Amino acid sequence: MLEKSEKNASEIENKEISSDKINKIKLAIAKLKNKNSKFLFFVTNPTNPSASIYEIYFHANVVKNMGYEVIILTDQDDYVIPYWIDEDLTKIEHKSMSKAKLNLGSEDVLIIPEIFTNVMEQTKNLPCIRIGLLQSIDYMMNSLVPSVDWSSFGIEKIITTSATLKNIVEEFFGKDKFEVKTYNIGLPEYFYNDESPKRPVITVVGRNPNEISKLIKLFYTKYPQYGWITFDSMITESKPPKSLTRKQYAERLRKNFAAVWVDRIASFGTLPIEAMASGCIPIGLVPDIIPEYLLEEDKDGENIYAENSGVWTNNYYSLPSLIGDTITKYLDDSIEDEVFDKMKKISDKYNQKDSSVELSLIYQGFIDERTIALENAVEGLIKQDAEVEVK
Amino acid sequence: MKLTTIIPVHEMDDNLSGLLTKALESVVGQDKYNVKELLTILIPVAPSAVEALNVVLSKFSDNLNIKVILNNGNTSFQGQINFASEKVETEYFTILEFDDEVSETYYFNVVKYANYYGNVDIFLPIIIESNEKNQALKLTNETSWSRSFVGENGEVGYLNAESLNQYTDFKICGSIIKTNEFINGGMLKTNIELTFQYEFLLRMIINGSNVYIIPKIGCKHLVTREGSLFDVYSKTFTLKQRKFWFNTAKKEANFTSDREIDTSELLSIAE
Repeated sequence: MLEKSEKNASEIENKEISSDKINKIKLAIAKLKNKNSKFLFFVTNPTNPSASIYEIYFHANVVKNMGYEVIILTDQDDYVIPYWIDEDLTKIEHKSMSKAKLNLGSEDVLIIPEIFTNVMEQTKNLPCIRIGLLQSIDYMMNSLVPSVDWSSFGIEKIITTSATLKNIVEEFFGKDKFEVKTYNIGLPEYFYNDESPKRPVITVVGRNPNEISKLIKLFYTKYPQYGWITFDSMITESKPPKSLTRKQYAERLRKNFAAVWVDRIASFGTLPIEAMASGCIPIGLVPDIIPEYLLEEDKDGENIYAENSGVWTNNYYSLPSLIGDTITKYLDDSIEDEVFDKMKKISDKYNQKDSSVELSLIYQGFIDERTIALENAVEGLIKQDAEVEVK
Repeated sequence: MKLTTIIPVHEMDDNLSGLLTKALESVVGQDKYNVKELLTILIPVAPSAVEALNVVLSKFSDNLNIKVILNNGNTSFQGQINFASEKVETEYFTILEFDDEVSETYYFNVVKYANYYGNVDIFLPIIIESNEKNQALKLTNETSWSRSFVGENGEVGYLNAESLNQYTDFKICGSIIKTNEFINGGMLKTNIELTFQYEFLLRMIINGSNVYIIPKIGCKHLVTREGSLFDVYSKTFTLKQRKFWFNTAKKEANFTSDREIDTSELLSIAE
């Protein structure tokens, strides 16, 4: 008798737990369907303007425009909202990670950029959707210990900016380990070309300042007749100089006739696209990961370098000559229209309108996927309860 | 945009005919600018050179709209430009020396920059200075694009008085000038030798004109032609004489009128 009574009590308790669980899941489903999910984007305090931070804010705004609540989680208590990002994009609630009390349900979404493996680790038991945002393979690998990948932290979903990065993930971490979604980044509309004459000034941007300094010195040594050409490191003329806002940056690019870019470890390379959109000829060292916009398929379907996409080399030491040749062509007006046409064609592909649509579909896809998974879970639990009752 | 180009001709022989032919061929060979319909070429000429000039021009009558104007007055380079400028009917005129050649996109750029920089009164192109073997010797006018030349308060691309005080080697061949600004500003001074271009630019800037360097190779300038004005200057002028003319230019730039120059100092230098 005692055993029977204990069994009944346990069944009642289990049923209550199950019912509670079902209700919670149903609540989560309702929130997912009613766009009551919270999206939390992690950002780090950038020392310099960076396309990757801008991109996180862009994602956050896409999601905000989809109708969801969005919070930017900062890694520092004294995080300063980047002034160089368009004000419209930063009008989002910011919270410091250390102070934020995260009460997240299965309907909520965490977007964790590649540098935050610690966050991936710390959040691995949370019930929310967790997405790894991969923009730089270097940052990703720098923050991982050997033989570990994001799956160790329970990350299953990745958003990345190029098919090349997706291929790298699949090649090195395993083909079906992650659900990897790719999209094209979008340049703001203020990156455009106009009819105004370009100045004999060359934008110069690179990851390693020593390489840039050496390059400029080599150029002036080889071409003393071009000693009057200015290299523009894209900072304000104020004292002390500051980084340009992204809008100012676009204006400056539009004025200058060429942009030198040396970034061996870039995973995508936004500057050349920005330059192309601005009618500013990129002169660059091809990074280890060849940017996809530099490749096109030939008639046999093989990838070849896209013609007229700027001036590109694999040899750092040929850059001074290429800069000199490009200046000569600029002065002689012998740069063919095909170059500008091709640059426009390439950069047109990377616009914020299309990018927003792609990202909306990706994020909505994750939400729909979670909704279906939870609905299936509810169905499973109900079925389980029914089976218990029949027994 | 309709334009006028002034080509001053003081003398003409076989050698000079060949050079003028090349200059005119460079005009005919323009890219993206219809010289036949939009350009008038004014050639002020000294009476002694008319006959030989007409022989050259006969080859271009189908391709260019050329008007020869006889100048019985001062036929120095400055005198010819001044004389012709008063016959110009377009907003801008350009100067082409008969021994120079313009680049293929010269007129295209003239229009492009004039349309964009409406505030500019004088445009100077970057010039390639060459010798008679067609070897490039140096660039001229390009320094205004250097931040270190223009100075902290200057704007790159624009010529300013401060930098002109320190550096004098700017040339007006291939220049594009607002006609009214040129006439009202006092034109070129015939009383100034050697440094008349420098004086003109300095004067115009002092008077508030904007001078902008088009950052394109606009023309090829022959600097070593035997018997040319600057060949004579370079061979015959001593350092002291040069200094005299630069000092004179700096002084005269404050006056619009072409004043008589007291050259007594030059006589004592010669002695």
